[in-house]
Amino acid sequence: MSSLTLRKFVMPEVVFGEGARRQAVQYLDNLGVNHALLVTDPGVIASGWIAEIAAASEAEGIAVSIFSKISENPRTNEVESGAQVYRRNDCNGILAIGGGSSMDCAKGIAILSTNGGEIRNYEGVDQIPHMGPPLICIPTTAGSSADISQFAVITDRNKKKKFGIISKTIIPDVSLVDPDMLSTLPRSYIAYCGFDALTHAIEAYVSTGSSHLTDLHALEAIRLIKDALPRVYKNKDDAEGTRFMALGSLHAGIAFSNASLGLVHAMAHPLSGVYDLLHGEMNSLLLPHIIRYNFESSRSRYEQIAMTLGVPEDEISREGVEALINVLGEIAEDVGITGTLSDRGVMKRDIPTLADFAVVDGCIVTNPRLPTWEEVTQIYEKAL
Amino acid sequence: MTKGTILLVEDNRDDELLTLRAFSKNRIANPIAVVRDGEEALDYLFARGSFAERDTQDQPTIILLDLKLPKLNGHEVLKAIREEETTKLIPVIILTTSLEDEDVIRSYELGANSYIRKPVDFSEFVSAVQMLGTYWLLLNKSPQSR
Amino acid sequence: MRRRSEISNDEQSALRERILGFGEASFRKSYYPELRVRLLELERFRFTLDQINVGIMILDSRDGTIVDLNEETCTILGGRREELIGAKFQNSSEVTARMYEKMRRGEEEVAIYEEIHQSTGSPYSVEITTHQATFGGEEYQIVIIRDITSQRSAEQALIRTRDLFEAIIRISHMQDASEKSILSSALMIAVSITQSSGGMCGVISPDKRLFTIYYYQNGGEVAYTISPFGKNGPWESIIRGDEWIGQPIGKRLDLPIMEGDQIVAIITLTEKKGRYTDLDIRQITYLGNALWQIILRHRAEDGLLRLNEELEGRVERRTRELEAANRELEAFTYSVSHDLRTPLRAVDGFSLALMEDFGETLPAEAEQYLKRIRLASQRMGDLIDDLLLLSRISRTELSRGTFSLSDLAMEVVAEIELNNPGRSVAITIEENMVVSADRRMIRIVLENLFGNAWKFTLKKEKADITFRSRSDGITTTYIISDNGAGFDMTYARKLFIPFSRLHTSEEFSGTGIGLATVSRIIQKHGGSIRAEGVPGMGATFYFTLGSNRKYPEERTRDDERNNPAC
Repeated sequence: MSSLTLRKFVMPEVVFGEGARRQAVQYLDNLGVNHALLVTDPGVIASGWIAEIAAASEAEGIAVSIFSKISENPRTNEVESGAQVYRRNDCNGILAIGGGSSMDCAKGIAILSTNGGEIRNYEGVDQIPHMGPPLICIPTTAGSSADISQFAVITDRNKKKKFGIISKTIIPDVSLVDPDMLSTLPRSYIAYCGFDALTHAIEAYVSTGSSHLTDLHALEAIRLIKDALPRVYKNKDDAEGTRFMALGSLHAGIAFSNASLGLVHAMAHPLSGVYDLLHGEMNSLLLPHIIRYNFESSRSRYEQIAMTLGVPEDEISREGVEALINVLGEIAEDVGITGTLSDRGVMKRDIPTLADFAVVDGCIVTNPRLPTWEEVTQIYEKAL
Repeated sequence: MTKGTILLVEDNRDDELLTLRAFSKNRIANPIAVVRDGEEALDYLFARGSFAERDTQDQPTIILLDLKLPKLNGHEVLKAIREEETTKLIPVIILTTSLEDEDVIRSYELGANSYIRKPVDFSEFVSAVQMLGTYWLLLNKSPQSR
Repeated sequence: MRRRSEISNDEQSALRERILGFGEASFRKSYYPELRVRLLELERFRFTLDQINVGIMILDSRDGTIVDLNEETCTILGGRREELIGAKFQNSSEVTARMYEKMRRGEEEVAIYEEIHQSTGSPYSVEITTHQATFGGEEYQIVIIRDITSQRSAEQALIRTRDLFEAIIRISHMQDASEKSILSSALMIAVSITQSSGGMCGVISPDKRLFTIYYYQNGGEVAYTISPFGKNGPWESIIRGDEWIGQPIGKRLDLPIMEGDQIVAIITLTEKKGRYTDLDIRQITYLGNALWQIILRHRAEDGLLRLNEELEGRVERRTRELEAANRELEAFTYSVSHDLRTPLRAVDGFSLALMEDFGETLPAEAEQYLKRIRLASQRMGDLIDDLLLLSRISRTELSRGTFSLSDLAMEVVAEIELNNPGRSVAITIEENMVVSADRRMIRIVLENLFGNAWKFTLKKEKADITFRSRSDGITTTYIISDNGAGFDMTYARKLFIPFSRLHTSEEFSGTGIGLATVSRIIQKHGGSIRAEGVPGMGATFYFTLGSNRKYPEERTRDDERNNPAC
């Protein structure tokens, strides 16, 4: 089994730093794009970033069409209408500016623009025959890491389901990580996204697909986010904190995109699908329960995480998993994430359905411990 | 009753003599005038030339006409006779050696009354003249004599 | 417990492998493979475009700059791709300038251009279709050029072939036309069909002494000159075989007309707009051959016509001569009948007159002499009559009619019996023998044959004469036989020759002309006659009267007489 020993490391060309967004025009030109589809959401438009970038592109002779009809969780019909806009305007490249939903939608549009058909058809791993047009991402949140990852998560409203598309072909060509972009984010978003990024890093680190390369990024992400997240949450204008947050998110993205994730995401995806709940929030609520479930399967790694989060060694050896859960709980509390799944409207009777989806979620396969369906339901019940 | 004149148009002296002999042998006693060619025949009939003194009222009862004649031939003479008022009713008997169909037919066409071929055998000729005399001189009264 | 939908371990490990990037399609996004596929596609497409015989070209709409073009377009424009791309289409040649003008005027239209190819000099036709197209915001003209030269030339060849055949048929039907007008027409056709501006046609006279040259310039009249053969320089020398021709030399085409392996005429065409083509050569060669057949036929007909005229003249002359001879003969026989008989009559008449008038005074011997004189003169009269009859029959036309030969025979026999009474002859005549013949002449035949039979059976106690017929299905033979004196077959031939007699006149009277006359009449009827005899045993005469219907020649002759207009 080669995969047990072989690891692969893929990431986009990344430009990091304040003003990185201004590289967009140059990259569009380099990639031969003369008519770009700008995929974004109304919030980003309102922030004024889009106007700035569109004007810069047009000044360079690159036409721009804007598609922004995107929900919190991008839906299949939105992806398809985006693809129509792309084709109708004879676009030959995509520039995604926004959070995870904008970037996932952009990936979907890219898939349809070269492969046609309906986005549902591409659910699963390695289902994309033809790579899409050039895709440049400018993330406006620090968390989803869609600008780095091979993942896209789309909501099928008819089936009340989120489905994942996993393919190396949808890794963006360029990621322009500009901390300035984060300054416009609402505080709650900062919290959820930050916690999402932290979950990415933790799951990537304990993933059975982890490697030295991903470990470095995962731990660096944890280390950066641990301090930056509360700082930024408290003070949106903390430029250094914001930069660290962005950097942490980037590291987390690099880690999980190559090492993959685990049970937290496998169980969080059905929640977003069924209840349309925020991905980062679900992660943060599920995380402690899954750590408890996984802990013995990957104890040293979780202890390393705890140490990285600043828990003293003796406390770890004395309290075990609870030391880790406590420190994570403190961070959550710091950024205002409290309560349980039932507080968010999740109902017990839905748990079997949620479990049905979770056990077939792609993320489950790299979890350090493979749960049974019953174990998954028990975890959901605990998290209620 | 005075017997009418017979006009004999004949250029050959032998034939003239033999014809006259045949007449006498048949006891035909009519006066006979003889002329030697066609022109003379017409002069006689129309009282011209050497016959200018002749009375045209006194025309022959019958004309015996040979076909082969010097100057005007028999057919020409016959034609002239039939065209002239004073002579057109006089019986004309062609008396010739020719038996050519054409001569015979032409003669009748021009108004000949009879056609007698002169045979080599004189006896035959005598009987032919006898027939002629009986018919034309005795039985067939000429219109003139009426 | 509800059914669990977990995935199996194997499935899980396969899924894990692919998530980590070891699936079949799990490679980092790279445009290169895709690009290569596209490039290959493009290359394949370009290759295809270069292979097809349709010119495809992309022009910049603004100024006619050639953006791209395929090989066929290069061939049509006569340049290399590298030179042509970036050049302005309208500047390629005068032709392309004209094309471009037309293209600009009519957008999205099909137009046909006929031009003379600059490099090859031969005419060609192209069909040009233009489409407007926009790529990457730029306006282009897609120009599709189809070389329809061969299609057009095939159409034109078809039309020309039809014209050619029509023309050949026209000249082959030029009746009563002179050789000159036939050749002039053919020359004009050759010039017009090949679209030449002029031409000449040289023809050697059949006796190879004169050379007639016809000249024609398009739109003018055909002129011609006649000169002695051998004085017309190199052109004429072609005809003597000194110089080979048949291929265009520059703007001129010399084509020989052959009769066997002899060159009998030349057609030369000059100054065609383009070059002389194989079609020109083939068609004019064909025209030449057809023309020569027409000329040969014309000459033959001419010859025949002259010959006919000559023959007619000769026949007319002969007829006139014959008519004159006939008139002389008629005059002769007329004289004979009159002038020979007149002295005879005198001899006979005066002998009789001597006997009648002086018989008593003459010695008996003198009277005997006079009798002999009379017999001799009468016999001469008979001879003259028979001769006249023979000659008359020779001159007289038959007048056929259908009548009963049996009845005619009985008439003749009755007449003979009347003139020669006191004999007992057994005569048998077959009944119902019907013939189509000249009744008067056949009467003469029967008079002679029955007369002879009667005469030669005089010394028989029991004379038998029979007349019957015998048919072999085609010809009917009539037979008169007697049991009289007969004759020696040695002299059978002489029977029908005038004046030849097989018996002395002491034995049997007769002139010896009768059977000659019979033979002549039978011949005139297209029949034949022969005789068989045994001396002392009798004679048999066989004769036929030819066909019962008129002979065509006779009818023709009669018709001509009756209807001189014919």
